[in-house]
Amino acid sequence: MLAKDAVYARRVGEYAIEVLIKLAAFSSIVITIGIIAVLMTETIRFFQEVSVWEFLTGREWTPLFSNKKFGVLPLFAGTAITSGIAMIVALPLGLMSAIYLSEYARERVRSILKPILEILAAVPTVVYGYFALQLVTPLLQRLIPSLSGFNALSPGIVMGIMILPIISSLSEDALRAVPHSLREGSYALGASRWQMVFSVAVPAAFSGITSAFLLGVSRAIGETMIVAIAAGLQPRLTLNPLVPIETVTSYIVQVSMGDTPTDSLEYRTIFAVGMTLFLGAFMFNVLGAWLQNRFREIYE
Amino acid sequence: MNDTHTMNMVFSIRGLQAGYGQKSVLHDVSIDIPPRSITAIIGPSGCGKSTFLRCLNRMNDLTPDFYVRGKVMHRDEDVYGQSVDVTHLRRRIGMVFQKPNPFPKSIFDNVAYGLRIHGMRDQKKITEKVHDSLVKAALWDEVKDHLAMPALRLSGGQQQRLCIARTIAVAPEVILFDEPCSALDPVSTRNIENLIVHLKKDYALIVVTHNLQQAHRIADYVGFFHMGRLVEFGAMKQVFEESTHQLTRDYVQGVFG
Amino acid sequence: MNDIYRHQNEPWWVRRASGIDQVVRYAGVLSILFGVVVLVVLFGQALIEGFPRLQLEFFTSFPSRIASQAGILSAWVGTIWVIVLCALMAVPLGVMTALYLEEYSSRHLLSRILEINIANLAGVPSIIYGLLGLGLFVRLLALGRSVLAGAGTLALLILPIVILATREALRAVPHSLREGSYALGASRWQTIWHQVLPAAFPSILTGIILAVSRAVGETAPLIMIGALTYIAFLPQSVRDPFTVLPIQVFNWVSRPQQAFTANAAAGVVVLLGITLTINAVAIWLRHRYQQKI
Repeated sequence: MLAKDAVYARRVGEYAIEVLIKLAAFSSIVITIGIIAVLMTETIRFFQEVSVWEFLTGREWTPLFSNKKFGVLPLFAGTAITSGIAMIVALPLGLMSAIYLSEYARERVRSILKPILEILAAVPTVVYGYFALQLVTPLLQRLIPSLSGFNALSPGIVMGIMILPIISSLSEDALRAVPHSLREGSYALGASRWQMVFSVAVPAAFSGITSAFLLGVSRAIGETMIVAIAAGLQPRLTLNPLVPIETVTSYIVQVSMGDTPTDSLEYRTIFAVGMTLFLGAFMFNVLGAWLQNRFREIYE
Repeated sequence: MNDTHTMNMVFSIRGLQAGYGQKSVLHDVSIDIPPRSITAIIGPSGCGKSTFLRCLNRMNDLTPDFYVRGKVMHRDEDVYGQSVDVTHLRRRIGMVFQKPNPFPKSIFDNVAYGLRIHGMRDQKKITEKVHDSLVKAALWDEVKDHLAMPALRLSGGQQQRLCIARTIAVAPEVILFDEPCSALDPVSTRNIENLIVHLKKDYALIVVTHNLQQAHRIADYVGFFHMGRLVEFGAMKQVFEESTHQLTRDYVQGVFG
Repeated sequence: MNDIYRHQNEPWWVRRASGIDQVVRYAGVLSILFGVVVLVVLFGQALIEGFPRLQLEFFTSFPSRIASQAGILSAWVGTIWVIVLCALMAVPLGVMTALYLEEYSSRHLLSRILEINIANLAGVPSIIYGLLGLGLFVRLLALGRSVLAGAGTLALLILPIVILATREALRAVPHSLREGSYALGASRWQTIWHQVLPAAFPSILTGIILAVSRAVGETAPLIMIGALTYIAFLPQSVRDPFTVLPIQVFNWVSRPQQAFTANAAAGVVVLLGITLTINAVAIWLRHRYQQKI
């Protein structure tokens, strides 16, 4: 049934496919190297002209003006304040959703609500940007008359809504990983459900919830379109959420939309600030993943 | 045992050692499996009988950290030899598993799968082979009118017979059974047992079982494993009724298990 | 003594406890509904605002300086070009990587490094992929601001998503299926092609659909590689410049004139409609598949 040369042909085919698949698998490594290489080369060239010290401690960011100042702090402040507002919105809402889905909701209710919640994460960010600018800001201006048309508050809140499902689903995973025996221990002492949840389940899932928070922060600092549309493009070293600001990401967008010549110092700034963004997001991700693995190791 | 005797054997195994990483499972197993007969491998759980079976068709290759030493000869071929094509080897040494595992395809395609992967293209020949295999596996009468039905809709016993049919289809010389009835009800078990007994006129059959009655009912030869060693191997009557080993006597009398 | 007395005669604390449970329960439901309400309001507002513009001409017109004549023809055609090309690049690469990790590699250091690397790539902000695309495709490979550069950039972006989803799907295929195939003498690739991939197909497809939905909505990385221009023609080849829906919407949102806001709203409705439909299909597919198992 099986001739010798058929065996041989099959072996060669198998080997070819295996080589192909191995090559494909290494593409992800190539991508990482590519990201680092692209960021590094332009960043190094940038720092040949601007001192690292000035970059990290300068309080003014005006690379596109004739009087160039390269202090990145205003951009950091913008990213910090929008991300901070986003987390203030996303953490309590996400955690409450997670507690409800994991501890209270019946399986049927959960199977309906969860996908609906996840759709929030699938909405294109440019749509959220439109929403922040056209709907949320005018609404907020009725409550806070001093609010500028561009501000950190409105995109921050909308970003929080975008991040909510991430926080919720990661926290829910953490809560579900808390072993049944721990819960029963609490019930056996006569605790009611909420007492069990807040005295046993939530503390036991703490590292997982923290991890959800960190991954949410990483998402927030990398978010671009919402802030580019609704936060304004004015670098400003402030923590006032009511005035126009500029974040690291929206600065990158601003430069690439303009007609900055591609081989100039101004142009290289986007790679330098991109590098800080990459490192920041990477740090939060690694920390988050580490905490996540820790709770998995404890309970699995 | 002299050489001509060994040559007639389906398997001739010498000093087989096997294990996973640091954990050794089989110690120095030597055994000869005769053709056209049923050899039952018995022993308490964890004694290494499944690992032993999986050494014979190299299914253990798929397990990470698995190692094997010693000699496993199938006819005149070294199973672990350098030039062996594992896929070709596994075709000649069929295997039926503990839990029926039909593919999520039609009944027909389940049996035809093995033929097709080994290069058979002639539709008429395939149909013929599928028919023959189903007949041999005593399943034809039950499924002949709905060969296009998904195999997963069959009952457990029927699924197991389908798995036997698909093994028969690729024309093996040996069929290995890894506790083939442990997931089945008594009626299906009896069907499978009858089938196994029926098949021994064409194949060498090696059946791992923890069911002593089953070994007693169907086996010609019995090998008793304990803690990774082959304690005793011989004709069924001898092992069950005239054993000289204390361990074997204790086990077949149900002192431990 | 006192405690026992309270337990017997004052079940108030039990009632209070269940009261707090009710509060927690409602807080959870409200948290979820909050997001949903936001979504509905968003869609409704955009629909009202953009409804007058949602005519056939909107879909068949190029962008224009005159808001009432502007349309999304080049945008949606560009989106189709970019997405199809992006999927053609990311799906085979992603599925093969997942196959390597699940079916070929034996768990040693190398595959561990790959896994960590992929997990980290999934967390890299999308705008960084834009910088990568700019450095790699637009400048190094000199593809310019073309459809190919855009699709390549988005392919890199969704690659980790495709890999993670495919791995998940492959892991759900029972081991006994592989064993059954190997025991008949099938080779590794035959087993993968005839048994593993068909069994995992619905889940892989769901993952791919969700990844594509992500690519449809991405804006920032494409702005980076320079897709933001008025495009008054359709791409004829992969080397042509292009625009996509989200960028067209962004362009209109950023304009101060009220007339363009209506265009933006109409664009938002189209974009939301597409993503919500894609996601609904994915959820339906997942649901159907889960019921089958």
